[in-house]
Amino acid sequence: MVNAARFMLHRPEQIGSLVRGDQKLCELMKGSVQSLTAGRVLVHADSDHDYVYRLRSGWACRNRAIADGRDQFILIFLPGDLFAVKSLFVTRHPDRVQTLSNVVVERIHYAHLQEAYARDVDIANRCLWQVIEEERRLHSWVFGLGQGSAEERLALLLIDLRGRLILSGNLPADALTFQFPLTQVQMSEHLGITPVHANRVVRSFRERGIAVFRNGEVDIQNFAELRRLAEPLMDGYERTTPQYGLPGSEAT
Amino acid sequence: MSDRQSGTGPFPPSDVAMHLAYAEACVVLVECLMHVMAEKQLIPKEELVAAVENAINAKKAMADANWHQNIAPVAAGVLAQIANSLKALP
Repeated sequence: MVNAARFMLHRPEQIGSLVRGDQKLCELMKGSVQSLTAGRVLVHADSDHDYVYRLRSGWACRNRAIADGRDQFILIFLPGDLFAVKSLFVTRHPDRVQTLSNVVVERIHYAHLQEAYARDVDIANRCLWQVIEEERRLHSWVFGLGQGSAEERLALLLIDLRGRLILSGNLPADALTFQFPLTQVQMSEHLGITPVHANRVVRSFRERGIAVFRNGEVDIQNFAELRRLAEPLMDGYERTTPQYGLPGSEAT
Repeated sequence: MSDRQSGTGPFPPSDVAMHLAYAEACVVLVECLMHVMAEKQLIPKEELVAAVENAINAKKAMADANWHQNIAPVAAGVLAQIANSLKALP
């Protein structure tokens, strides 16, 4: 069942179409379910790829690695997200998409989706919304990478992941502990810092009682402090959406 | 009888692995010390970043001069990660 709250960024009059589009995509992808293990590459960098995916469970990411060993995580995909939507419009994918945990995905061939996209505005809206939402998150992340400290970036990452998991109905609204399958090296590749630096920030969060990473989970122990750290990097949408705020209270 | 005496235990690391481990440990240790120096406000982070950027330029010059042509660009990449990471210190 689609949680309409996950589309709350959109104009209110679009919500009906987005929910319908999501349900229609579910129908189109029916029968294509695959279970994949962590670390599996779904889309290879600089390769032709014909499919669009929806993550049903688990985490995946888009990343770019270059010849001198540098590697940047560009986006993290969570359950409910469509990804590789660009297959609709481009033949080659510039970046790699890989699983971060064991996942269940569904997929659809781009030609099949293109036909549905042209015929059904609800499906077109749902695909377009995913691109718009990714763009919003990328804008925030570019700002964070350019202007944020490592602590602020990690705080934003945790606030963002928790908020998205709540909005998509994968986490209760008051939850402060959730699965976090990224290793510290992967975390550093997303935060744009070295593993040494990531280790220091993680330790600092633990020592200050802000958040503890343990056994593939993160436990937020001081949400108010985490939110205070993330606040400068949060966009207006995140600041005013309750799911990104203090549990049980309205975001300000 | 120990594994080492019986010869049934894991092989000791090769000389190459040992050299790589020492090299990696050096980089990690220097980076940790830079973080400590920045936190203790002994050296401004901008000067630490400038020092790493100096090392990047040296490595790039080595690559341009065909010296350690395969390794120097990767070393420059490692140093670039460290420089970017230092910039994210508060």
